[in-house]
Formats: sequence, structure tokens, C-alpha cells
Amino acid sequence: MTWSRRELLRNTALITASSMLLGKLASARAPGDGARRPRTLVQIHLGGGLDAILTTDPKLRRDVDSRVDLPYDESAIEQLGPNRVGPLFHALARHVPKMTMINGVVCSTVSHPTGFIQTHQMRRLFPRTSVGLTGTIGTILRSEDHPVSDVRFVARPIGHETPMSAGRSLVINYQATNPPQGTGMLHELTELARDDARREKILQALEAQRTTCHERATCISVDATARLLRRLPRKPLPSPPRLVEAGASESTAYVLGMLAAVFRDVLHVLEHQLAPAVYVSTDPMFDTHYWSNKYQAMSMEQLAPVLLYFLDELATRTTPDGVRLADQVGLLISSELGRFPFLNRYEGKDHFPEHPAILIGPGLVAGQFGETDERMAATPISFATGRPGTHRRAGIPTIDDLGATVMRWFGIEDTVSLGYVGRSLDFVFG
Amino acid sequence: MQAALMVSAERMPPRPETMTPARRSELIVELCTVGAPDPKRCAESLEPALDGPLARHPVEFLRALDLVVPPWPRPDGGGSPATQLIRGHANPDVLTLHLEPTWLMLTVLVATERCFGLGEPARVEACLAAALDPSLRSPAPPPPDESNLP
Repeated sequence: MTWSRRELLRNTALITASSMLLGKLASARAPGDGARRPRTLVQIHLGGGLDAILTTDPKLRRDVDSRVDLPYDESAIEQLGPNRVGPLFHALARHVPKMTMINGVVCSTVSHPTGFIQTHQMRRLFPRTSVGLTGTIGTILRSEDHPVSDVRFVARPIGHETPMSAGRSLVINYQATNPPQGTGMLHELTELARDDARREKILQALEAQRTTCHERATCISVDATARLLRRLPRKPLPSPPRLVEAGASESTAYVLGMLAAVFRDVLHVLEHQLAPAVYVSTDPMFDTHYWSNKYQAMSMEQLAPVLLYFLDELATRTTPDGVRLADQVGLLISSELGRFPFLNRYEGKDHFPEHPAILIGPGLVAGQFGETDERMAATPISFATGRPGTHRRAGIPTIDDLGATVMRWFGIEDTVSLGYVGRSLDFVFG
Repeated sequence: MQAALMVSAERMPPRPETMTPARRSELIVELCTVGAPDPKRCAESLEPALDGPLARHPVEFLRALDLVVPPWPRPDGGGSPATQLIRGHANPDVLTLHLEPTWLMLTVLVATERCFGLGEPARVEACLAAALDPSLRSPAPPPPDESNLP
């Protein structure tokens, strides 16, 4: 077929115009548009620093610097769905295939307190009194039905994790107030809500305060408390699951008991839609400056049964509208810093300003993204594919990018106005 | 927007330069107006004053609560479950926003425990009203600004 000059010009113009239009449509399309989006955020902060080489970023001896500690051979690396994981993730095997892992996320700190605050914020620069990632997303997603913006389960107060910056949050300092038996604040509030006479008296007293309150924060608190008492179910909180195996050490039994009670409460919050966002931070259980491999394994022994219980329950429980929790919860798991790849003189691993992050939930592509070199240091990736890249738009992902990504995952386009100025890692949305 | 965030995070102006909280708030609002697609949301997210005032030291609040709704004496001399919950929550090292939901919910639990045992409905209501009175959780009025005094 031959085209005249006129036809050639016309067809070229048509092709150019259509490709421009397609380009415009593509750029207008938000990540995850047309895909399912989560509606409740659960952020789990594993204190201390999950060791990437043992979990999300396994390596072979030939691929790493001789100083990198690699305490396993190739047979210990397992391919589970799209993910190749190290020995410590074998315990989570049935949930690994649906994980989206991002390796080599830069947090720029080797300090626990700074890292704890940054992880709660999921950014490195933030307003002094900000309510964090869960508080911000929770405030935006909160409907009339949600008593509070987010519920935070914290192990101990560190910096902004204290109740100081609570805003509309319910903060449960579980080590101080929630014993492993499963009693504690949420249990007591549920018991009060079940007692019709007492609940009504309390609601009357709150209503009297509501009509006269003049300070904005007081009105918010009164409103949140009254809504919570109305919203809590009229049935008792179930006992925490028994996850401790026979022969477990006293410390493992204690930590497992405590975390089982916490995640029982998290499921209660999700199932009864008490808040659109939940933050859980553990003690710095992965802070392994001594005998790192032994203590990372021990900490995973304490954590894995709880994570399995939680992830299994997400798949079976529903909210009152009949939607499975697994189809509506977006889960973000990370530590506040990583572990240094070389052993110190105590066979421990010190701090490293990079760490992996894991996302699970609707609208994501499962798989491993991010890249680390022979010394486990992050290297540039393409922000379009999440794979190694060297062109000018390639870069190393940071927690600022992760914060912006989670916001976009929840359909929040204007992350900049909220102070989340990172670049969204859109490759996780497929 | 980066500038608004820097000002909000107190990284700008660089030390030793200082800025009054009022000027800081004003500047954040101005920067949001110029740079943010949604200036109102930006100001709400970055302007620290909107987060609420700091209130009393937790121990001070607990003493005030004990005064208006005294705890029931216990044979073991310890605290009741709700008292233990609120004491466990109080971090003595940090000033706490007593105007926020967690404190009010814990106060509700303490009030439930201490007031319903009084029996007579009028006394119960008075006790609940006293325990939940916002003035217990409100900060003391700020001292006068002496710099303006003649």
C-alpha cells in the first residue's frame, strides 16, 4: 500500500493525536484505578529491625561481599509464588505468595527513637504534632460511623508514639494496660457498652458535656467516646487465642500471649469498624546486637504464630456489610531501621539505615521489588517498574516514597497537601 | 510545599533564627495557599496549633480526678482495674493532651467504677458529671504575657 503525501500527513496526525490522547488518559489514571482498593489501613511496625537477608532479600554466597554474614546455603531459600524468601519467612509460607516486598527502602537513620517516629509518620520530615500515617489516612477515610480516626497499639511510649499527639486517635499502651489474659482497655470498654443501664447513664453525662463544650478538642473527644460506646458490640470480647506451644520458653510464652491479645483487639477494631486505620508497634524485639541470627530466629518464633493467626482471621472474618476483612484491609509491615550486613564482634548486627517493607492487600501486584548490591546496600530502581534502573528517573526508594505510595493505594491523590511529598511507587499497583 | 513542611517541622528558619508560634502558623497557611492543590487540607495537616493545646501533667490530672471522685478503699491497698489502666497509660515523663479521646475513655472507665457504687441516682449523676467535667482536663489559663507590662 502506498500513501499519497496528503494521506501520509493525515494519518501521521491521527496517530500522533491518538497516542497523545492515550498518554493523557494514562497520566490521568490514578494508580489502582479500576482495581480494588483497601478501605482500612493496618500498619505493623516490627521494632528493632527485621534482617533482610534472612527474610525478604535472600542471597547466594557468590552474589555477596565476603564480609556479609550469610548463615545458610541455597537450599534454605524458598520460592513461594512470586517471592524468593530466606529461612525466617518459611514460618509464614502460606501468606508469602500474596506479599508485595520492597527491598532497600532508605530511612536515613540508625537511631531507634528517630526511626520509631519516622515509621509512625512514614516520612522523614513531618510537622511536630502530626498524627502520623494512620492518623492522617484515618482522618480522611473516617466516616460518620467510625468513632475514632485510628487506634494505636504501642508497646512503650517513644517520642511521638506517646499519647501526646493523639488527635482523634485511641492510643492503647498495651504493655502497661493490657495483660496477656486479654483484659485491658478495649475489654473494659466493651463490658461497659454491654451494660445497658450504665452505658445509658454515661451517654447522658457525655451528652451534657457535649452541649456545653466550647473547646474543639473536648468536643471531639466527647463525641468519639459516645460513638465508641454506641458502636461497640453487645457481646463479650472473645478470649485471645492460645498460640503458645508446649515447651516454649517463658519469654516466648509471655511475648506470644501479649501479642495474641493485641491482635485479638485489632481484629475486634476491624470487624466492628471502630476506626479506618490501626497502628501496632512491637517492642524492639528484632534489635539483635548480640548473636543476631539466633535472636532474629527467636523473635520470628514469637511473631510468626501471631501474624499467621491475624492473616488467617482476615480471610475468614467479615464486617457487618458482609465484606471479608482480607478484601478491605491494606497491610503495611516494616521496621524503623535495618540490620547492618556484617557481623560485629559479638556476632550481632548493628543498625543499617535501610530496611525492607511488605504490603499485603487488594489492588497490589505480589512480588519482590527494590534492589540491593553485594553489600546489601540499596541501588537505584526504575520508579516505573521497581526493577534495577539507571535512567534519569531512577532512584533509591525512601520511606517518604513508601508513605506517599500507601496514601495513593488508599485513593488519596493529593498527598502533597497532606505533607507526604515522596514519589509514589506505582509499580506495586501493577 | 517542601517549604511549608520544613516550617511546620521547625527546620525552617534555620537556627539560631527563631519564629513565634503565631508567625509560624501564619506562614504555613500562606505557603499552603500558594503551593498546595488543597490549601485547607494542607493547613490542617501542617499547622500545629490545630492539633489542640497541651494540658496538664498526667499525675496532676490523676490527683485532680481522685479529688472529685475519690477511689474506693481496697483491702489490698492497690488500684482498681480502671485506676490501674489510667495510671498505666500516664507517662510521667511526657505532658499529655488530656483533651483527647484516649484520656476521656479511660476517665469514663474510672467514673463507671467509682460512681455507680454510690447507689442513689442523683449522687451517681453528680459523680459522673464531676468526673467527666472538661475543666478537669483543661489546661490552666496561660500566665499573662509580662513582656507587655509597663
